Amino acid sequence: MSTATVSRGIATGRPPAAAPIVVGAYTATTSVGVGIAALTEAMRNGRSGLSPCAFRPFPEAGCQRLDTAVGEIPGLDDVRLPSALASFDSRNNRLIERALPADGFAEQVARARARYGAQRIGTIIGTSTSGLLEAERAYFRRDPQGSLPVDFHYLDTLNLAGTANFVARRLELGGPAFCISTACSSGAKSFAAAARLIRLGLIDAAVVGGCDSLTLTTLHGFDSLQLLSRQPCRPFDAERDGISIGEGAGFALVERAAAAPEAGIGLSGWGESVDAHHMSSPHPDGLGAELAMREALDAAGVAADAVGYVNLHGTATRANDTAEGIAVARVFGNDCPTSSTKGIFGHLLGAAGAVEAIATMIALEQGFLPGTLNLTRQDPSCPNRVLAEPAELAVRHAMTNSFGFGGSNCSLLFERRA
Amino acid sequence: MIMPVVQLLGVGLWSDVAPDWPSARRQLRGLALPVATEPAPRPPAADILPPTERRRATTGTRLAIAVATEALTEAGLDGAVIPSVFTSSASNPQIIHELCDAMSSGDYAISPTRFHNSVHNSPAGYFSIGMGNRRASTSIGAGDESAAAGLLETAAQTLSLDEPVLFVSFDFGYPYPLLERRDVRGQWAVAMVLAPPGFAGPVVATLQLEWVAEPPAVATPFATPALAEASTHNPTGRLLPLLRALANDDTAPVSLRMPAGAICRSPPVAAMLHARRWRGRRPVEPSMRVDELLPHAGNSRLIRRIVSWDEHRIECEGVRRPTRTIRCAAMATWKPWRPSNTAPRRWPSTARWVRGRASQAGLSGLGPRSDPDARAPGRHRDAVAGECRMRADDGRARVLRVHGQQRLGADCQRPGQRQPARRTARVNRRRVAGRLWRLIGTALGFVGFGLLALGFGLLVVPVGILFVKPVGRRAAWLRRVAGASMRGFVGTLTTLGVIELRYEGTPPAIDRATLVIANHPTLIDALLLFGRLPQLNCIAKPSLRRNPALALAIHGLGYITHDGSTRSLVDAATAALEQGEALLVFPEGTRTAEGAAPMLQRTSAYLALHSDCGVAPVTIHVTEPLLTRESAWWRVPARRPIFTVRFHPPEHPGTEPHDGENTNSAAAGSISAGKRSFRRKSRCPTAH
Repeated sequence: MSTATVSRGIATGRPPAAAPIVVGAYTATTSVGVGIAALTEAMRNGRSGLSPCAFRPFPEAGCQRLDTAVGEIPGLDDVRLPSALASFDSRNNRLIERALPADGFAEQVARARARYGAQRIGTIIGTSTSGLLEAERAYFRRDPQGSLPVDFHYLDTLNLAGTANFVARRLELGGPAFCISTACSSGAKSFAAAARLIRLGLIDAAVVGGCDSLTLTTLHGFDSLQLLSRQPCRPFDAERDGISIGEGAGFALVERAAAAPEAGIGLSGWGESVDAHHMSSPHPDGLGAELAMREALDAAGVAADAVGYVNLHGTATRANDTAEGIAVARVFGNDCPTSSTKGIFGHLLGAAGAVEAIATMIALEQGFLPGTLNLTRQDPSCPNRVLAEPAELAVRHAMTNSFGFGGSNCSLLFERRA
Repeated sequence: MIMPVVQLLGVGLWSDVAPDWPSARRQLRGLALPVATEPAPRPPAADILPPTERRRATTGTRLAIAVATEALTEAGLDGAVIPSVFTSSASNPQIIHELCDAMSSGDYAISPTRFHNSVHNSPAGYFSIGMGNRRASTSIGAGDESAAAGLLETAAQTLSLDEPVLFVSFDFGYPYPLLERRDVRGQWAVAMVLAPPGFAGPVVATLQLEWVAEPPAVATPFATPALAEASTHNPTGRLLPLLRALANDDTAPVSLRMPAGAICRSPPVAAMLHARRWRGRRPVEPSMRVDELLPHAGNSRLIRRIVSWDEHRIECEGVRRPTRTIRCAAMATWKPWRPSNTAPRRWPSTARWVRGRASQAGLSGLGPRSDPDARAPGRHRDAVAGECRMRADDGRARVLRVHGQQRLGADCQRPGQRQPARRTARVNRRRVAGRLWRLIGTALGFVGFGLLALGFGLLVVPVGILFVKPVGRRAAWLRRVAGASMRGFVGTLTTLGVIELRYEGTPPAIDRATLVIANHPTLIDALLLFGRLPQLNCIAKPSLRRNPALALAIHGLGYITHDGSTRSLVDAATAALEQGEALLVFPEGTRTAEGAAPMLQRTSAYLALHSDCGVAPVTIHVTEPLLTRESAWWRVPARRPIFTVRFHPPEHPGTEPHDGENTNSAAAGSISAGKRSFRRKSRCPTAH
């Protein structure tokens, strides 16, 4: 019997800033299907998961039918959570429950847990809705006095803690667990936050990602902003008329490079900024977006012309695509291939950054660049080179952009380590 | 795992019980008592926002911006270039409630503004817009552990960016019915500016964050209910143990519960604090409590509730005017200030108010049972002294005593007590007639005084301005005229039989700086004194200056006016005393509450101490309650009130022996109680 020394010593200086962060495993579930294989197939073939909106969370309420396309994941209502985690039951967490086992992600995390110890793996998840639909349903079930039903578990569903804690409990992780909620850039920011904690040595790995599910509030809220497209969204098209909301979840295991093989995908840089312009519309010249992209390049020490592909935020609103196109062209020039994958699974809001980061990683690993669905004629006001069709092209560095309400921007730069 | 240390450059705080970090720090040191108020105060307007946005700013936005600007100001950093981390359990529970309510009831028309304000990072967005800040900003949520998670993220950012990062945590109560399922109480917001080690700048403290798997050390619970509740029922309030350590320069580790996964429970946050002292104002004395600071609160029915208080001011809500706020000067610690426009002189660094109390001086054996006055017709007792002592740092001290009267309450009429003999109908008729007459006389007196003041202001003051040329003599001339008018007015009242008036003692010679202090039982006390001492200056309260009938007269007479703040009052009064004027002061600040012992404000003791002026005590005794604070003017007493104005010999510094008590006072303006040895017939022709 030996006495284990648990002290790890006092950190006297900062860990080397260039400690590479790698992505050990990832998975994504969207309206095109569960797992990476379905997403890859959809990206290669230009298959879309968007369909006319038939989302009716409580039909007896007589939900108004919205004239828009959504990326709804079928069968989520049939998912059952483990009984020990029953209080977390919400559409968002059911989506997580469906997404985590795909592609052997949960097993990969279990192996990492065995490698590092549960407390050395953090859980940082981006979400904007969390269990909002559960709250809407609870409000619908209020008793005559106006009280919420007792089976509505606020902290485990509506509160942001519900999402992070569910992932942590589901994967039995003991490190810091919290949610980042900066609207549509949440999922991307979770990568940056985890990488910082890993570089500081506080944790060795983290499960990051994002998860957002459909709610009435988001559908009707975007409708009130007149940002919902009547048909599947057409990013960067001259005729684009708004977003298509989808639901989805994407998770990745980011870890210190030393513990991972010299292969796979590395997170080489991240950049965050704020527009400081308006709560719900982007800066018209994309100043904040440009700052984020340049910061990511600087952090990684990668020149702009070394980046072979940019996965755009590309929501298909008039304002976003123009501003983003201008900003991307300013940073990467007019020839860098770019595309928006939102035509495939829609705008996943808080999960968009995570799922699109995974789409970018798929492109890096599989050596092809996804196209932009529904793009027939590029808007001349967007000077960047937007790929309409998938292109077989292996690139080394690829960036993904995510911009959200409150002017919150995040750009992640990934690298194929081969 | 221990993180590298980070430096704390500034703290901002706003809560229901503290409007800023210095106030909260005093509370956390146990020097001030956090008092919750009803209704809860509204967070300050987010004044960095353009007016249109400011108006619509949510509670979360207001909270976040208020504390962020305070912390940035203390750190001396520009809000336009600092990265930020905002954290909250839920940043807009009210909007979430409204949206859920609308969605569940089929009302799908959402306001676009409400929708974009519903996102968790909307306060962060408004902060960036208001500051024009394009740096990275993250918004975090982790339920009850939001603040700790945010602190961790902030430390990670500041270390990886190697520059200061702003941390803002805010949480406030949930609306019904959400609060049934999530009990968050109060409004709390805390901001901190963290910087990497070695950052050049004023450092408040150094923090070391550590993530450990052991259960957290249980923090000492907060004794104060407001803080105890916040530390358990408000996610931001959970930072209170850390804030307490900061406030007390405590270097023991503080544990904040972190968002827990399946296994890990807590990382303590060790606060290793530099010995550097906090900048900021001196705190009040540790021993002071609210009741000591504001004796009225305990003894008087006038104050219902204390709204807020700090070193210089107690704001309380009065009973008689529930909608208005009475500001009481409560000067626990005096900052040395100089009267404006006067040459600097040597002031003691601080003057501490030692004690103020009401006592039945010299009559300790006399309770209602044995007090012969208790059976006297007026049921008044001239036996109560109010006392106020103030001692300067240099050892000088002044004691002011004001003797008043205490009207004995109805409880003195005990069952066994003999009832007065039955009056004859004739006596009764005469009494009723007399009372009616005095009622009419009182009403005429009010009207007459108003006309007199107005006429004085409109006629006499212009005449004085036009014809009394040496400006220095103008006020003196006007005061002579006013004094004569008041003498005439009071004489008329006595002639009419409304009151009876006696003067006793020699009025003090007021040819040098003298503080004439008197108790203040009725509305007409000042008139009685001005009639005999026309050259007295006095302090006119702001409301009198706003009275159109009196404004001109007050201006012409050169009476001291102030803007309601204690400081302006003391400045003006000190200036007048330095010019050798005699100043009439009612140390109670207002009329004596009926039935209560006099409670002295500290201002007069402070004036006496710092001006080294003489003190001339005056006792005004009235046999019946007339024109008191509590009673309406038309409730005239059954008997004719007899006023006795007693002038006591003035005492000047250096001429009187020490006050025998525990202060080494250079002079004490004290009067002996209950002695009527020098009573003599007043020379006033109108007195009987």
